[in-house]
Amino acid sequence: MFTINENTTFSKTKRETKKELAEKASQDINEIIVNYMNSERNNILETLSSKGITGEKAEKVLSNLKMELQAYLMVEVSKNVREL
Amino acid sequence: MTRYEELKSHSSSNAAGEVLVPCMAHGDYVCVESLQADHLQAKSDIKRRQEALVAQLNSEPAFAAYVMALSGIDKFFVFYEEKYYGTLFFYELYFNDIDNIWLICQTCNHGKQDEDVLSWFSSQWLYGQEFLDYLGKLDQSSILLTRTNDQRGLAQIAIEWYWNRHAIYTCTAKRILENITTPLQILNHKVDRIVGFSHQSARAERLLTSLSAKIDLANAIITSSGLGLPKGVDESPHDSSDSDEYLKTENIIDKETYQKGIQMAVPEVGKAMSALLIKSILKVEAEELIDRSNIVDSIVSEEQLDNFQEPQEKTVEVDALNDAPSSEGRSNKDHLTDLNFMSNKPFG
Repeated sequence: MFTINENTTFSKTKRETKKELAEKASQDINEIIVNYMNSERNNILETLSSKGITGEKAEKVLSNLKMELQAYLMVEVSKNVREL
Repeated sequence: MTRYEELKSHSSSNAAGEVLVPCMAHGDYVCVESLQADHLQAKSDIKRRQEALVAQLNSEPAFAAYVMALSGIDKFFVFYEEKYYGTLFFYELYFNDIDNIWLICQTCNHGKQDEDVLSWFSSQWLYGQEFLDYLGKLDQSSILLTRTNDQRGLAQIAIEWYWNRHAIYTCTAKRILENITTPLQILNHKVDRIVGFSHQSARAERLLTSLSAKIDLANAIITSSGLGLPKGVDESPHDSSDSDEYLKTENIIDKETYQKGIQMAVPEVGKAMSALLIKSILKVEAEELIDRSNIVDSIVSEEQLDNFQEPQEKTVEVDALNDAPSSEGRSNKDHLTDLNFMSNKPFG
């Protein structure tokens, strides 16, 4: 299950500029993804292994997955913020 | 800077060495020879307005007297046998007004023909209603050429719009051309040369596999990495071809909003996990494919390929080839031996 890690801390500085807020949102997203990848690493590796993907190739897939998740989450957040 | 110099600074070339430049009407790269000078405001419209002006001179003596008293007007109109005529200079000056001319490809120019310029712009994906809004209200007082209220020509504004609005798309099109399309053309050329002469089916098969792999890779790259191509239904609804970067900054209005945005987005990412994992695996597979195709490329060097080009007769018997010396002193039998040696090398 993909959830926000309870250790994730959102930025709390007051009077941020839009750009600063965007940068902090990017950091928060990165933190969410890193926490998720750390907690789910073994499960994903197990899934990949069952499909015959192991070793260096599996590490490459994990690295790609991290970038894909970051990009996807960023786009989703942009969409949501636009609608709010 | 001339119209062509503007384009030349963004030029590229294809496998045959032909110079390619972007067509500002449809956005893709085309051979420079196919460019044509297009009159944004249709030439028939300009000519119709010029003829109407001359007719006005002939029908209204008071108007004609006022116009013909203007300084330097004799360059534009002549009075001959009781009738006013426009001079060649008059017709050519407005017909060749640089602010009304841009360079677009032959196909776009043919498609545009004498269509009303605003109606044509509204139907183009690079321009559309967004461009018409940018153009603003046109100066309706202009007699001969349509201009904006600040007296700028339509071509001038369209070119400015293209480079400002679609710079990312043009750069992406150029990168695809230089990194994918042209290498594929070169590889395809190599395959043709090998298949056409040597009849080495195994080698041809490998090269074709390599070509196929590169096409798969190109498709994988284009569909998965968001190169700024026209958006698919599952992508951001932002309707220009520009980057969505500004959406990430301008629309984040306060801390609570973006936190809420993240919280709403997280479950969606969970749902997309399987698809993203598959996409990641496909990317790694694509990288492996290109590694394999590069190995094939490294086996077949340009020098070796040059030895096999321009066959005299495809129907000649192999025995005859064995004895025919090449211009470099090597017999064709030696070349065929090279081919057999190469085909026995392990693939990948």
